[in-house]
Amino acid sequence: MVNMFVTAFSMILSAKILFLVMVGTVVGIIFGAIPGLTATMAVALCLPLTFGMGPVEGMAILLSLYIGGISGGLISAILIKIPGTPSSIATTFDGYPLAERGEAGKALGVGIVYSFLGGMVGFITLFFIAPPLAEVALRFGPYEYFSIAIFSLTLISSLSGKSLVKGLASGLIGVFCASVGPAPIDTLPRFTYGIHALEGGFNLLPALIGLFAVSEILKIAESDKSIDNVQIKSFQIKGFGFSLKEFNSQWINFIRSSLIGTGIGILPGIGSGVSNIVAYSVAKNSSKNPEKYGTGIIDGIVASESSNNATIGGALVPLLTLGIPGDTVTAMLLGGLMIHGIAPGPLLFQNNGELVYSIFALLIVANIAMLIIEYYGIKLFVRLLRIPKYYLLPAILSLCVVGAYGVNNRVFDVVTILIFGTLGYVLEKFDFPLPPIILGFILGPIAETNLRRGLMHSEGSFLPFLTSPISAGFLVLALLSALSTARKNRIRERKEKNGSL
Amino acid sequence: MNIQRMMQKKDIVSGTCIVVFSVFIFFSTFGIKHLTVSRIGSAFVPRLVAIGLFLVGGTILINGVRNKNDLSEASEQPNRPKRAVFTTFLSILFYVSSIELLGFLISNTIYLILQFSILIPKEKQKIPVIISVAILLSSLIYGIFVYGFQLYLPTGLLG
Repeated sequence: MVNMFVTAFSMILSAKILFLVMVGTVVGIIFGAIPGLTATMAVALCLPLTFGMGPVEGMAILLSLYIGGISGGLISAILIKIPGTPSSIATTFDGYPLAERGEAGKALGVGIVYSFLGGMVGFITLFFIAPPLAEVALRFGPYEYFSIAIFSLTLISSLSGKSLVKGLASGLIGVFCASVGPAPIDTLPRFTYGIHALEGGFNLLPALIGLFAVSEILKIAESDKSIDNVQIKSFQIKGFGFSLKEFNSQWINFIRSSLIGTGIGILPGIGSGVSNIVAYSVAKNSSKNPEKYGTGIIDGIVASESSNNATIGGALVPLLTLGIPGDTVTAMLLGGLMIHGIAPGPLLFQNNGELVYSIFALLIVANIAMLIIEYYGIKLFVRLLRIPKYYLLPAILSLCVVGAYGVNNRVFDVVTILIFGTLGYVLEKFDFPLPPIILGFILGPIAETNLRRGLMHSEGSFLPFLTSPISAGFLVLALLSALSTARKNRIRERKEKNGSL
Repeated sequence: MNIQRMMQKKDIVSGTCIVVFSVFIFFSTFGIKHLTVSRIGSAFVPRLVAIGLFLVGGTILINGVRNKNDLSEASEQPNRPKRAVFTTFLSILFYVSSIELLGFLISNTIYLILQFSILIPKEKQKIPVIISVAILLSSLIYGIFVYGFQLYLPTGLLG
C-alpha cells in the first residue's frame, strides 16, 4: 500500500496536475459558496474540460471540484444565512448567530479547518476499507450484483423526502428513462418509436446536467430576484479564529461527526445533504448543554462541517469498489471515469491500481489545497457572492450545452438536457424528489443486466439468487430496508394525521 | 389549508399522469422483440416498471382524492409558474433547436441576449451592455473549448 502511495504521489506531483487541482478547488468553492449552484453542477460543467485529458488529470480537476464544492457552502451559510449547498444546512444554525455577534471570522475559521479534518477522516477510511472490499467484490457474480443493485434501489426511500410513494415513482421513472434505447444483452431497441436519435438511448451525463443544472436554472428564473441583493456580514479573520483550548474541546464531537459523515456516505443514495443534519442532531442530543445549540457555538459548526466533508470519502467507497455511486456528484464522477474508458468496480483495483492510488493521493492534495485556498481566498469568494445571478445563470447554461454536446458530439445530447431539465422542473413542482431518478437511471440497467446474465447462467432458474450467501444477504437487507421504511412512513403519516386534527 | 389543498390537487394531477403514462408504456412493451428462449426478455423489466408506475401512480391519485374529500371548500391559489420560467424555457428550446443550423457562436449569443433580457430587471437593462456581454461570453467559451481544449462545437452558418 505504501509503495502504491509513493508511486501515486510521484505521478500527481507535477506542475500541471497541481495547477488543475488549484483550478478545480477554486471553481468548486465558488460553486459551493453561491446559493443555487452545487458541486454536482460544477462537476457537470467542467466535465467537457476533461475530455482531452488523461484519466489522472481529469480526476484531479473533478475531485477538487467535489471537495471545494462541498466545503464552499459554509461561506454563504455563515455570512448570509443561506447554505451554499444542502451540505451546509446545519452550518447556518450556529454559523450565522456567531457572525451576527461579530465573530464571523471565527465561524469561518472553524468551518474551514474542520472541513479539512473531516475530509481527512473520510479519506483515511476510504484508503483502508476500499482495497479489501474490492478484493471481496472480485468474487461477486451476476447474482450478487443484482442483489446489491436491488438493495441500493430500496435506499431510494432515504432520498424520497416527504413522500415514499413519490420517491418510488421518481426511481421508476429513472429506470424507464434508462431503458430507452438498446436493451442489455441482446441490444434490441426499446421505446424508440422509429426515432433514430433514440436508438442510442439517453446518455447519463446530459441527463444529469439536465436534471440538476437546467431544472435549477428554471427554478431560479422563477424565484424572487431580490436574492441578488444579499446582505453579507462583514468579518475579520486572524489565525484560524479559535484557540487551542477550543480545538481540544472538540475532539469527541469531531471524531463522532466525521464517522457519521463517512458512514452515511458509504450507504448508496445518501449524501452530505443528510449527514450534516444527522451529525448536528447527534452532537446536540449528546451535549451537556443542548440549549446552547443554535445560539452561536462552534460545536454546531464542527459537527456539520466535519461530517459533510467526511461524506466524500465514504461516498467514494461504493463508487470505486462496486461501481455504484453514493450520491449525485459521484454519479457524475462515474460518468467522468467512463468517458476515459474506465469502469469503476473491483477490477479497477486489479487492473488500474495506479489510477486508484492516484485518486487517493489526489484527494489528500485537493483537501490540503481546499484548506489553503479557502482560507487565503476567503475575501475573494465573498466578493463573488455579489455577482448577479442574471449574468451567471445564462453563462452556466451555455457551459451545460458545451458539456452535453462534448460527450458524443451529438445534438441529441443537447436536446436531452432540455428534456431532463423540463422533466426535473415539472416533477419538483409536483413534489417528486430528483435524486431517485438518477439512482434508478444508474441502478436499473445494472440490476437488469445482471438479472438476465444470472438467468442465462442458471438456465432460467431464480434459485441461485437466493442460495448464494452474499446475494441472499443483500436481498434480506433490501427486504428489511423496505419494511423499515414502510413502517417509518406509516408512523409519520399517523403523527401528521394526529397533528392536523 | 391552502397548501394542503394545493398538494392534493398536485397529487390528483400527477397521479393521473403517471397512471396514463404507465398504461402507455405497458402497451408499448408489446412492441419490443423477443429473441431469446428465456422467458425474461428485453420487455420484462420495462413491463415491471410499467406495473410499478401504475401502482404508485394509483396510490398517489387515491391519496389525493381521499384527502380532497376530507376538506371543506376553500379558495385556492394555483401555483402558477411565472412568465420568466416559460420564456426561459422557450429561449432554451430555441437555442437547442438552432445550434446545429446556426452554430454555437450565433445561437449561444442570441440565447444569451434573450436570457439576459428575461432575467435582468427592467430598470437595470442596458441593451449595448447585454449584447456586448453575450458576444464576449460566447466568443470566450468557444475560444476556450475549441482552441484550448480541442473540443468540437457546431459551426453552423459560420462553418
